[in-house]
Amino acid sequence: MSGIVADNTNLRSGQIKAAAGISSRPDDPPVLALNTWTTAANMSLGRYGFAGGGGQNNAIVCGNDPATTSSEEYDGTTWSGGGSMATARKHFTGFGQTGSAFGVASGRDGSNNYLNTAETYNGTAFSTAPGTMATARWMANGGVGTSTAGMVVGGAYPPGSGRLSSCEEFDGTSFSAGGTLAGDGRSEGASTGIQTSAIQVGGEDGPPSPGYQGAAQEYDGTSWSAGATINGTARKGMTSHGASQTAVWMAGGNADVAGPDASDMELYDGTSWSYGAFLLNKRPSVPAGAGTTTAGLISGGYWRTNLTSAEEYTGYSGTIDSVEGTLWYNTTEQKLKISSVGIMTSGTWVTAGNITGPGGMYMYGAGTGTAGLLCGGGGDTDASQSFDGSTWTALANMTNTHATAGGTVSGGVSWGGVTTAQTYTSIYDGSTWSSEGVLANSCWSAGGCGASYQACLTFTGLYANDTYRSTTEEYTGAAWTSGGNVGVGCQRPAGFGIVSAALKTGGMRHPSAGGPYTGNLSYTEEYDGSSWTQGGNLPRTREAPTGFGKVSAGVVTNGGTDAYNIETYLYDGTAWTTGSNSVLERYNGGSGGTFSSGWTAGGGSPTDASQNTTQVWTVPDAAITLG
Amino acid sequence: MIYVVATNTGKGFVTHDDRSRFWIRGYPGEVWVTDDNGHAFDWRSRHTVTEKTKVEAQAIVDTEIADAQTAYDASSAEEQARTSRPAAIVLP
Repeated sequence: MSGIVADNTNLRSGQIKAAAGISSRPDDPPVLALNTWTTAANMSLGRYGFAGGGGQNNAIVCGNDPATTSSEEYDGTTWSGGGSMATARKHFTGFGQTGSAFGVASGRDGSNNYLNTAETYNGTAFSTAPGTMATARWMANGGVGTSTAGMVVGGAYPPGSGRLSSCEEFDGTSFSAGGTLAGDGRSEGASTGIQTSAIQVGGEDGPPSPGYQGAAQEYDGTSWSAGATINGTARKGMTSHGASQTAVWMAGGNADVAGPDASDMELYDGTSWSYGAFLLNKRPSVPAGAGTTTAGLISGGYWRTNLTSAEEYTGYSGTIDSVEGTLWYNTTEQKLKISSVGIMTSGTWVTAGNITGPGGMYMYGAGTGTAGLLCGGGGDTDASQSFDGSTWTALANMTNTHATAGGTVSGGVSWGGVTTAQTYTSIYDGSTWSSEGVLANSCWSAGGCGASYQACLTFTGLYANDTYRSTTEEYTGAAWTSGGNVGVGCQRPAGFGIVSAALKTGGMRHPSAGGPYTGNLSYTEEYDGSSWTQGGNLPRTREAPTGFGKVSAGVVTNGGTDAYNIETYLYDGTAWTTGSNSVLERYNGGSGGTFSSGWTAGGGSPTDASQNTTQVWTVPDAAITLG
Repeated sequence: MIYVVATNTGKGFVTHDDRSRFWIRGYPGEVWVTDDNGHAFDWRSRHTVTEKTKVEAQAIVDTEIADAQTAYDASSAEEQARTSRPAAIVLP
């Protein structure tokens, strides 16, 4: 269970039941901190080309392709039939932050006539608005605002003549001209916000510069201006929603005619887009969503047929407010428990000073956030340096090039090979490096950790013949002794903790090695000083990630070849939750620190294998006690 | 990874607790791919699933995509403009 920091074993069931305000339950409450999509109830009708809006627990969808008048409402648990529109519509616009005050406009009807009419919904029935739009259109870029202050953004009309840049504002009764989108006109993108503060993103532009778009435009109630571009592939047919222009989510869509359907999500904070959680299912051609960046809803779309399925998004903004500080009594374990404030509170990443020695791939770190030790760099060198939390200082060269490090800056150790198998071990006394002991199993690209040069651990990696070793060895400051075997051998996993409580996660296992786990791994294992057991898997696979902390409070970030290697995951001894994204895209870097204070440095980025930059992780101080 | 065919029954099919404990993703043809750990085993036990080998699961996805591509190619230019031609998916 996430964040349990103490068990009160002295208290017994009868005593706790007498205490007011403490819930009793047979199990621990679920972990709620992961920003993620889960399945929602299926709609009764597969829909695409529909409109929708509202909140996660008060949503509405209506219309379809083929055009229909029907609507459905979602209460967070089930969909039920709503009122019928006066006109069957497809590929039209909806606006509304609640399902019971909603408006629709534009689109095409069942006979493919272009529509310039609007309707408003009061939670029971649709009413046709007296006013009409200046320009009939379909495939507009989603909808903005409410049923009494809405806006239709761009769109297309008629076929073959390109896209529209005009926007029309709706006051619940009639339409008036809004600002004009920049560029060549745009259709099938997404929009959200309110009439005086809106954002439009993605879509397809018409001639003379046709193509799918990734850029956003922002509206101030009068005019549109250029906004930030999404990180992922330019697309159309996606949806966005949010409570305001500065808290927007966007997901799904069609990446391009020949490319993959987009299933990723991005979040906008008013300044820039960042990656969010992946949808459970690819969801192309999904024109409408509902809710906010903390409670979203996406439904329908088109994949060979119109989709009935829906997904709910739960997002958090750095802390697990919903369970933080929660007190409960576990009647099965007869223990009083409290969720942690400190352990699962996400920290923040900021950049720090560049390393002084050679940067780049295959760097190895140890130590703390303010007394770090970094070895290697430049591909495979014997350099070492120390970190005080802000700047780096060059140290003496190691006796050999090495692959893994442990200990501290005043008593460190580094061992094994980088790209070829080695048994050499070097220890650092705060001044100079010297050779001390050899590994029983020559290896390269191993994982490792340890709190001091007299208590380190190395595990897995590759033998000289490039097969994966499963062995573990423990270092005492003079010699290595055998430990328990890992379950899944791999190269460059993240490793942290101490000899009696260590964690190994991620890494890469070449497919030619066979077995159930190959490629980049999410597999996690915990070591108790004698044997490894499987832990909770990383939410996403990671090659050569970086990590620090301890088994019950660990941090892993970066890692390569998985498209977006900036996510941070926090481990509580059982499961991973999502922390703040790192600020540097990296893999094969070095790292060190504790849960509340750590760093990663060096490594390679997708565009440059010789990075010398540093990022620092900090979690605000927090503590909680029982009784 | 474990490969199964299962019908998404809606709310509760994949919960927040599930997603915090194991990796899962849905693919065309009602193919679902999960981690191979105890939590994912519990999820599979909770639902009616048919386990497949990776080759079998990939074949299901490939067939779905081929059918979808055929349907896309046969649709009108206007219909094609509203969607996109499904691309191949390689299961993890």
